[in-house]
Amino acid sequence: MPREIITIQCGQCGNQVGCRFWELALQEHAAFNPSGVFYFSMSSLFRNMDTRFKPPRELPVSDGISKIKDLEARAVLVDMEEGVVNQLLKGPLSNLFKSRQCITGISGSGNNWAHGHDVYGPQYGEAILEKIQSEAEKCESLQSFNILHSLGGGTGSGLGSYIMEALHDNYSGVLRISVPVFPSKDDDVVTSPYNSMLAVKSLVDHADCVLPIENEALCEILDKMEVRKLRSPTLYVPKPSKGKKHPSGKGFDAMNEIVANLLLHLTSSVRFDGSLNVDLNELTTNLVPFPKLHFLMSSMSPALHGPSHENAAQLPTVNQLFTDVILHKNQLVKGNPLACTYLASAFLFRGSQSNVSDLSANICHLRQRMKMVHWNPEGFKIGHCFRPPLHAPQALLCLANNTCIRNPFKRMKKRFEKLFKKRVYVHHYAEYMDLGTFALALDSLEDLIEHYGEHEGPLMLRQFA
Amino acid sequence: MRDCVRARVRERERMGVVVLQVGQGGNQFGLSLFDALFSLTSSLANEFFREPRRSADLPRARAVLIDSEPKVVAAVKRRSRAMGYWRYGPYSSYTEDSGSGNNWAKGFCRLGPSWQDALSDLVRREVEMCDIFDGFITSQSLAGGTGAGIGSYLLEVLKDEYPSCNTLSHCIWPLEGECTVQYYNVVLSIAHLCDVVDGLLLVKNETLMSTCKKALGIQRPSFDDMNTVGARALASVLVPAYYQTKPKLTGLLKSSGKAATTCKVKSSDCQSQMMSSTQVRILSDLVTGLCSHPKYRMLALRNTPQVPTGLDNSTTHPWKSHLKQLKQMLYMEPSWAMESTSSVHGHKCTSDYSAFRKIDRCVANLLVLRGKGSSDADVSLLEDKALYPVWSKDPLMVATNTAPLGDFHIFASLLSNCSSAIAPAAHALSRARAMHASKAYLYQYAKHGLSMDDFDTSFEAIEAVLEQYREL
Repeated sequence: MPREIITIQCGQCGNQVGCRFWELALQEHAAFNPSGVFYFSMSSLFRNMDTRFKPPRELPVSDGISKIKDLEARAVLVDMEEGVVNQLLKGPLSNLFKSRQCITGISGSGNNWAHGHDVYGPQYGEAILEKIQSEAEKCESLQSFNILHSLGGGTGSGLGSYIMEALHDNYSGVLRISVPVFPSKDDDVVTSPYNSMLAVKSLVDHADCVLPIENEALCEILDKMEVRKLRSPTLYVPKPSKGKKHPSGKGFDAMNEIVANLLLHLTSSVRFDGSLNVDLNELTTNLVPFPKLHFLMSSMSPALHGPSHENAAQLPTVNQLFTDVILHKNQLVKGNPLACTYLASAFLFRGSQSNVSDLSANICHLRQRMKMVHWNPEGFKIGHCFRPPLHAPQALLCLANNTCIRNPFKRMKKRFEKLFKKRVYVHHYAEYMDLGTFALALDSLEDLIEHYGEHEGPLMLRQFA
Repeated sequence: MRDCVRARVRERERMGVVVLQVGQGGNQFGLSLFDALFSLTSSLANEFFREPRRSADLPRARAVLIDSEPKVVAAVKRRSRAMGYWRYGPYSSYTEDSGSGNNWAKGFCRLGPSWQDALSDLVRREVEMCDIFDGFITSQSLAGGTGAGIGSYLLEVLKDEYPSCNTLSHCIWPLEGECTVQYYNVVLSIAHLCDVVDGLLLVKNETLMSTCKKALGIQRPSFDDMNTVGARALASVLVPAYYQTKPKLTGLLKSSGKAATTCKVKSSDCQSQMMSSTQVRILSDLVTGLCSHPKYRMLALRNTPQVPTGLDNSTTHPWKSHLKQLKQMLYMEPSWAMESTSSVHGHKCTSDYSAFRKIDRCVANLLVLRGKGSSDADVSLLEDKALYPVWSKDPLMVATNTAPLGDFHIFASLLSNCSSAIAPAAHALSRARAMHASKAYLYQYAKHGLSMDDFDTSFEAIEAVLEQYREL
């Protein structure tokens, strides 16, 4: 009786984040499952296959005795280059993905949304949908599609948008959760303002829930950890990867790990027992009051947790987790939610040491500091999952529908207008698409910003205390 | 001779009450309830448990477990097995995978109708296993989509299928901020439940939590702690008790089928008096006695004490202080209510509930006293005319049992049909109205076929109920 989640990784960034996600998911399940049995909670993300048969036969959730045979991830890997996916297939996770789950092109999308969306979309669309369909057919009750992609490049943003639209058409009953990485200011892709703008329009129209991530925000979180590490040398900070390096010197690995943790926390309540379960479809019910306002700020505390040697005294308490999680320094999108209005927020707690009264007391406490929208001063959702994350006794994920999400959109709009004013690079897009799309996308973005602005309300302090 | 056999058969026949556990909160509470019922009753088979087919097996709970996702029901069954005193029936649960997503409309308009056949089969199986079927108790929470939405739908269906049965709905009122759309769900459920159930027992998680904290000294109560307190309170009403025989109550006893033969008896005869007086038939008496007026259906439960007290022989009137306390809970002033340590299910008034009346007027009360000397306790304190509206005849029913309740040597609970639900319901209504006015979240409900007008109808229905209680 699993409730499955299919992860779709699109583009270089999506695949790198995905790779880290699967690695950590495996570690997490392995840690709670020393007997190596394919048990219920794994079945949301994985499949157990018996490879003695050709084609391999799927095994049901275990009777508690027989060991895992051959794990397969419920995922579809899409990239228009071969490099990253091939690396993945050669790496330690190669067993998780079969070649029938991957689609690769050769030449890349040339950092051009239009190329990805209007050329590769129609060209590979059918093949991609076929693979998604074959994954979906293996699910008993599909809960959601999680789409990992970046918005700066061509494949993740262009083809990702195309996939999102196709999923909307073909699987309208299944939740579509997008985790896009927004391009940063000093992005190495010149056309990223165009790409992200166009992609956001398709996210507005076709996704159910979007959890944006900004590289800059991730870098800042890592910088802070580095500073703390200097003070306490035992603190765990993941080593930067050897290969590719981020302009600011941070490894993508650590950044990807943050995003991977976000996904693990998000799905924890689907996978494990808890006193207040939160299904993925509950998130949209609770956090999206109006259909288009589905962009959520996410923050975690702690953002990263490794096999640290901190002693128990240094570990944050529940109350600390709650106070930290709403601070602007922990947001995965740059912005200060406390300065803006909350339309709704969800606090998903993992760990067995605390219980509902702690959570409820903390919510009451936080309420004094948060500006809630006037029509719903009690717009909170609490989740409690008993299983803590790996390497930490407890963790908290906060998802907030906050008007301060306007800021990244405003920044995006500014960067777009700077380029578009002079029509630079526009001819590359004209090759594949109608230039009117730019205007439509701009309208849609302005509309979104304005919509969020409408709910920016007057201060509601202590009124309901 | 034949009469004698028949009588013996009848003796073995059991009244049966089927408990429907719906949703996460409902299932968790249901587990605690059966646990409390099992520990408080001596016989292996009774209203809530049936004898297993084979004598080696454990008694089976007369329950149906329903949820829209599998994890909670699995965990509840696992825990009942681990405790090893009783079990849920092997085919007594129905779960699906989809989840109802905290969306009342999804549960009520979509999942409910599509599960209807399966659920009514399941319920019928359980009902058919009762020798005499007394009615349903549902255990559900009001916040989410499953307990609230599917629960309301199921009760409507059951009302059609078993028109003469009695239903008591035990509804868990969510904590503030448990879920963002909770007030929509609360309002929609209450509006629908008021039409179909006989009694609607509202239990606030918040009061349970403060009881745990203040009376029991649990600093950080979990849901389990809270459910244990709530379950004990409900079980104290449900386990066997006998009407206190007083001349005044003769009319009531006649109506419940048997003539009162004993009038005032001495305490030394209390055992014989118990045998000859009438046992409370859990649901039918409770419902006919307390909720006889179709417009008054809201129940509240208060009890005292919260912690087991030692057997105290020095006080000659142990009941007096407890009854006084119960009465105080009815007369609760808002400021006092906040400090209240002994109220379980009484409402807690906070400042934004505005100034409602300070006395909880009652349509009717059922007082259950358990422990030594309960059968001739003086209950005149609660017979105060000021508590009841003028039209109410014989508003106080008193049931007693000289046996102690578990660790509690004496235990008094008061189940009342009273106005204490006004404050929280009015609060929920105003919050739901505010959200509705700004059209927030409505599209999600509309997606499953619940329109703006449906909301308005529900708002009006609740307003009407509140108005009734305010007039008391």
